[in-house]
Amino acid sequence: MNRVTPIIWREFKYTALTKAFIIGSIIVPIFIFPLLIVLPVLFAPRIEPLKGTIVIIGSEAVAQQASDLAHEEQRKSGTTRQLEEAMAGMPDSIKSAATDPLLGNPMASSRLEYDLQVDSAAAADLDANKQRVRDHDLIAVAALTDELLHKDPTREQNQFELFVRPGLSPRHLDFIDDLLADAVVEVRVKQSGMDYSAMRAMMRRPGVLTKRLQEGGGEVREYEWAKRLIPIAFMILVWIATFTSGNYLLTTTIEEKSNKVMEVLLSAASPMEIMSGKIIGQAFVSLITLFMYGGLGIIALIALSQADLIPLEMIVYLLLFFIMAYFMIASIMASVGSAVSDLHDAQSLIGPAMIVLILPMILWIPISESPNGSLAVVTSYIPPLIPFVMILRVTASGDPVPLWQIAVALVEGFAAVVVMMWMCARIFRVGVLMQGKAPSPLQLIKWIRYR
Amino acid sequence: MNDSSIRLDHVDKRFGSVHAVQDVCFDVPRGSLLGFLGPNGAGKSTTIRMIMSIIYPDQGSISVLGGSALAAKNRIGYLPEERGLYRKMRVGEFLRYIGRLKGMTRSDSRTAAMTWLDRMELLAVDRKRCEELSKGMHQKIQFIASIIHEPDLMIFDEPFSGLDPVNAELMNTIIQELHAQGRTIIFSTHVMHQAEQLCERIMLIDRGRLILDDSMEGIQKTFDPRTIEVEPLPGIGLPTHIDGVAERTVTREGGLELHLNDHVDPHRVMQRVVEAGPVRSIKLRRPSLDDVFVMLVRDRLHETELGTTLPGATP
Repeated sequence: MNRVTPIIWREFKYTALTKAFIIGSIIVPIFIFPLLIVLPVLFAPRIEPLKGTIVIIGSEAVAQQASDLAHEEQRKSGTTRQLEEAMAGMPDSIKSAATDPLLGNPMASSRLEYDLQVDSAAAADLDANKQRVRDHDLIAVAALTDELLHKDPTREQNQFELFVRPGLSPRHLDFIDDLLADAVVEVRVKQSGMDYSAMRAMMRRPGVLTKRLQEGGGEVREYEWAKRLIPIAFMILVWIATFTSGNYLLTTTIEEKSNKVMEVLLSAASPMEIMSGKIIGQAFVSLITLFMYGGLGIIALIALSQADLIPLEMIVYLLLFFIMAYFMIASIMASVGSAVSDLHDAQSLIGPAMIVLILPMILWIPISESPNGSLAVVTSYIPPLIPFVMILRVTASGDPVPLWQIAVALVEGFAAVVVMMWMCARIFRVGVLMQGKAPSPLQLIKWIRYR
Repeated sequence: MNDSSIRLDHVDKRFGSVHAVQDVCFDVPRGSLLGFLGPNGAGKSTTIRMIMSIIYPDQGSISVLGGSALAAKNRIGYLPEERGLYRKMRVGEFLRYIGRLKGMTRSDSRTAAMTWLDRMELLAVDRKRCEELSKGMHQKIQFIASIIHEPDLMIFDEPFSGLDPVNAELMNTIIQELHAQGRTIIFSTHVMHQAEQLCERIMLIDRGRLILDDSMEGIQKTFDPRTIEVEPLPGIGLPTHIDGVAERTVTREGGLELHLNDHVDPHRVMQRVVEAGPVRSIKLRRPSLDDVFVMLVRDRLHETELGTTLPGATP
């Protein structure tokens, strides 16, 4: 252990206490975190105002109605409405951030500004108006049919042609579609003698205010999206923490080999001591990443009064499966790092392993939606996938995973860790002395069997 | 009391189809200063790595400082041929790190690092990153790293490469001081005159076999001198033909070097030269290590074909 301790400390110090790590892994995420909260709103782009004239062929009533709707204050496009509907399910803190003037009032900036005039024209003027659209004199011309305004049009009748100028942005088009479709519906309703405003008010679907009754007696607002996101958040947390350090392990091992420090180290310590020191050193780096990102997540849940979504046993499982995942990834990275002389060669060896390890990321929806389904159960017994699939399963909000399955996964997973670390040690002691061409996977297997 | 620093007993190592080290036996007494020579790919590095317990022999045994090589790691200093430093690490920190790996306490490693940096005239670079150093400085730092823990056994692979004559002389002095302190030193080099100048004993390995293991004096006695140096008197030349002389060359100082045919007794040729006319001086030139190296490695090729054995070689 005397020789391992300095190696652990050096590995940790030159990874975690460097400007690159502090800026890349600590400061940047801390700044990014608040941005993530308003990210959906920020994605709503600021776009150019929509200005000009639309001509409607075939119905003066629709043209008039569209003109009236366009002059209603704060008319919103479909995109803005969808955004607002999505925001309705969000906690108050996010809603207030979305309209915070200090953040530039992202919701308001997502709305489209417009100055539209809507005219009508006779069917005979369609071609002339199309030419005006081509000449950029008009924004669009809509050709309506009489059948469109029937009380009960068929599917074929319930559509109209809209001719737009080239280069019209999707948001502008979306706004015009919406405006004209609403005008057509309103004219139909009016022609039937009904009160459109009253009807619209009655048709508005009620919102559901779900509240979760807590075991201690309280009740808190239930956010469905939070429950859905917890499994993937846990898996990504394990993924980021293990792969970040795994990657550092790979690059530092390659660096030590390529700049020939390895030979100096080997004169002082055995390959096993070097490998252990490096893996343990990076384990501490990995833990920092886990605690930092995990801590931020927990702080966010506490701020939303949602801390009870993560019971203590979930944290215990997180730690157990994180340890399992880290040592699996570390054994792969240390083996490959010791066997190659540059990163390019490493990519070709890591590629196949990555394809397998990325599976849980692809399968997170079916696994977390059905944590006891066949797919989830089978994949949670395949060694390199165990920690990632199991963390999805145990944090999913569906049926609880049977305890015996968790126990089997833990025993099998840690047994796999022992085997993988042993194989890694065998490859490492041969690989660190090898220079030149990268070995094939078959050669790596031969190295395991070397005396 | 075991007087061997290193003992190799019928050591054999293969890498797949390559027989890197073949049945090598030798014994290095404590306090020796030994040159470990051989052409590229001869098996030097493999042998050194086995001594360092970086790799292990397939057959045979290795004893280092009277015990297991692994247990003796802290008593061995090793300067590998290919220099390796952590580019981003500061010089002083690197030396302390190596000292700690070699079992030194934190304060001992700090004191030793400063002492050696001072001795090697590198105190000013203590806080510099290794990547900021020149090649010669790299070499000196690496040298310090190999001796910082005051090992009993030191193995230096090409210790003088990359050094200017002043620094080479400084390192030469330090090696001799360490030797005078009773430490065992083995060094491998391609520069024969350095080995000749420093070493008491030479081992030559070629294609995995030890083909020479003798003292410098023994080597000079063993290897038949094939050149006679003659300084003629002014105005008196030598006959154009002398029996047994294959070739003659004129030196820059005006002397002559007579290169003899194989299997000719050099004393008979010297007698013929003297009988042919008066000369100012005549002497047999002792073979340099360079000559011996070239001769042995060249002859080894021949020997492989004929199946014969050279003097001093392991059977």
